[in-house]
Amino acid sequence: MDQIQIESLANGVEGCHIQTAQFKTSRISINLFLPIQETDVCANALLAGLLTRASADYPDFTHLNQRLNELYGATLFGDVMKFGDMQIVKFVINVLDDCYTLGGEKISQDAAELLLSMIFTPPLQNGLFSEQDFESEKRLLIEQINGEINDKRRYAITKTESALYQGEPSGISRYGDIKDAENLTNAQAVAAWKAMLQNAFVRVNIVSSTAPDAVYQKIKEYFAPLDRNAQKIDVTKKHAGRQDVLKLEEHMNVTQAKLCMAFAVSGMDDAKDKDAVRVMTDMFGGGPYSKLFANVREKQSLCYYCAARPNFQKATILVDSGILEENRQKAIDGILQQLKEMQNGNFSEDDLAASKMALTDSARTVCDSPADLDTWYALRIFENDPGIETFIGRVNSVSKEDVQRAANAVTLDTVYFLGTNGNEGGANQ
Amino acid sequence: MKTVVENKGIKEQCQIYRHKSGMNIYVCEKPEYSSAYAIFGTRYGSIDTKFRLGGDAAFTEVPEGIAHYLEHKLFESEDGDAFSRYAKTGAMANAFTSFDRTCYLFSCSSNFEDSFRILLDFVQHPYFTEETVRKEQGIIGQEIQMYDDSAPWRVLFNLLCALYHNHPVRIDIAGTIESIAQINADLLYQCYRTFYNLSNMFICVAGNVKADEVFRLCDELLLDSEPVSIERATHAEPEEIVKKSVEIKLPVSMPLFAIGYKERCEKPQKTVKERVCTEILMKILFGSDSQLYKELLDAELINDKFEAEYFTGHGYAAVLVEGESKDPQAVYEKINAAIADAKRNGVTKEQFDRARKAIYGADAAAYNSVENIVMSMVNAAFLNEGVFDEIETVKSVTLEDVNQRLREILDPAHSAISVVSGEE
Repeated sequence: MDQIQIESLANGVEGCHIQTAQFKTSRISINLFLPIQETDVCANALLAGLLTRASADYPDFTHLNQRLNELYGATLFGDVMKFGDMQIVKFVINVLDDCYTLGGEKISQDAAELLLSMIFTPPLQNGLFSEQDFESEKRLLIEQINGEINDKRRYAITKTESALYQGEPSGISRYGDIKDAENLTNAQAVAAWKAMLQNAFVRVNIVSSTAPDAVYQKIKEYFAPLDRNAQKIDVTKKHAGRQDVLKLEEHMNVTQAKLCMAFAVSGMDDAKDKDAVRVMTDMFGGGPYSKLFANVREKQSLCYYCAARPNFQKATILVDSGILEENRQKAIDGILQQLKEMQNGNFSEDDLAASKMALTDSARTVCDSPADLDTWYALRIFENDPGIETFIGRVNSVSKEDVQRAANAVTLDTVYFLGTNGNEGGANQ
Repeated sequence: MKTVVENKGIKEQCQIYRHKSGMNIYVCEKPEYSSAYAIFGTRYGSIDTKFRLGGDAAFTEVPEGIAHYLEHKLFESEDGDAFSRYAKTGAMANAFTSFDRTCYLFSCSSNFEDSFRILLDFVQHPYFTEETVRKEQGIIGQEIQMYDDSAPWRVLFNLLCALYHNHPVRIDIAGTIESIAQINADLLYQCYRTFYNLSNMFICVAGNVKADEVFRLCDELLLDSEPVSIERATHAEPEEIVKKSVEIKLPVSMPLFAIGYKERCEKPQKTVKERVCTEILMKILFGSDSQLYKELLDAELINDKFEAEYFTGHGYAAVLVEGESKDPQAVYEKINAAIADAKRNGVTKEQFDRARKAIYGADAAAYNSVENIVMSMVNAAFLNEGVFDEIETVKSVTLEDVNQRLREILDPAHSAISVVSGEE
């Protein structure tokens, strides 16, 4: 499985058919790529929810959900994510293939048309969204933004990223700022919806066993009357890196403290360099075979989790960990020591082979999930050859010297710590 | 002995091999998939704290959290840990302990046989000393502390403590800092010898594998063992709850709530029909197409994190409804009113048909994922049910079955609410 066919459906609209007969369902995913702009982020995040709660045929939330249940529990949702300095607004429907329905009902095309109608012809009244729906979605968005604090691991990462990318579009949260959410108006949401359809680069991913022609035809009809102004351009600028390390600390009543360390990667710009950074980051803090897991967690017992993740768009690496408050300095030293080991080439060919095998294995596993296939190809729209086997070939060509070179391109940029400051809550309650 | 079971509706089949030890091995071949997923599991979880082997005079009581502790320790052997062995095959390995089971798993897209050999080897060869056992207390202690900060975790366990007087489901799976301090190598070996007997275990594999090859490897690698009979102490659990409500404070933006409706358990396990009827009922009463959901949303009492779950295992069963709300008490009252209304009027044919279709669709779609297939085989192995019993029951239950079930469960008199609210 790795058979994809990409074609142009309209100006700045690409269809990508990922053909496979292995699943019981079909997945249609509409991905709108927009440069992150402080003024729009919130409205776009709101639209992800607002557009998927009603359609012209089912303007009532309850009726819409009843319809989805009749379509054998088709799952329909909107979401937003950050991709470098871009925001992706995503609309998805997953629906059971016709051959598995109990009475032989044909439901796939109905489900596809339902999704498209929600995005292109939402139920407007006097040019505005239903006031009740708008206010309800606005409340949910505000609660979503306020709720980021509930998951401390996620919260620590978000805070680190906003400090790390301060002044850059990536520094803005994917849901936007709470003040912007509170001030959002119905008219702004409508304007953002129109602008989105007008200006976003659109990638439609379809994971299905059947030909996408009927869905493509509908999409072409919807886009035909629009005067589109969309180009497939990656607007992301890599993070420049700091001279002096930025240090932040926050206090809260937590039992386990959180430590995040962000690193900048300088140079390493071509495709081969990025492959080296990928393998290096995995060896540093990927799986249980990594330096951070084997040493900082297992040998030194300094944290419960300690993982490193690359952000290729921004040329950064983020290490996040959950630690005992009193181990803060030891954990920082331990993490930096492991980076030093990587920089000095203190790792074996076996270590390198382990990372390559794990990266290869997890890439092939992508083929076995409609959602993973969708994400894989959506996040590789700017790559010439986004195939999974191509990826595997590239990862496996990375040498020990490449890894060491990548490690030496890494410098500490931002350190974020979330703890109790020793006098609230306490480590052991 | 090998049997093959098939489901024509979703075009799936599963092969089951009865090993001489008494263990069943389940394999679902998916040749069109790239990966495979395997679990070696035991019917042993956090609730198994008091037990005896056939022939023993007295029950043994062990510290809370020991099943989870044993899971951690089993990854170690005299010559390194299992993770470093998996590093040579590329497999992604993990393990989890729940209330009633411990499962060791890996997923891979190549070298299946090598990874499967590692799995069967380390789970069958415990190795720990007093020193290695002590060392683990740090890491598990940190895991316990991480869960202490997790509002969803705390809201659930506080609810279970409000619902259950004696059943150990009320105890945190990882135990407490104090209880794990009592764990030593002897206790771990004793639990291992009891619950890791092959007759108490199961192996389930799905994906790009050949069933006969998996069975051959099992014949080669499973050690000889005499079946044991394990008697778990029963817990005299009254129908009544402990207390109606419980509330704690943590740094959260919006109060979290968990509401539970405790159910009587005359038999240790609920039948597949009882479970399916309950799932259908929960969809009708609490699903996103229900009147209740709409009412709560319009009143700004819930957000999109509202969900219901049928929480059931050995000797416990409850319908749980969880979410976030500025006024959890008002949500509780509205839920009770909706239940009373449904009990008065019964569910309609339209509601039943829609919910059943949605659940059938979700059950069929679960076969997209080799992990989900393995999990459904694990459930079947665990409960001694057929692999496709659940999806077939979804097809065969009637409106009357569901209305009958509605009369049996969801008694507000046996319900409680747990809340985690924000700090001032």
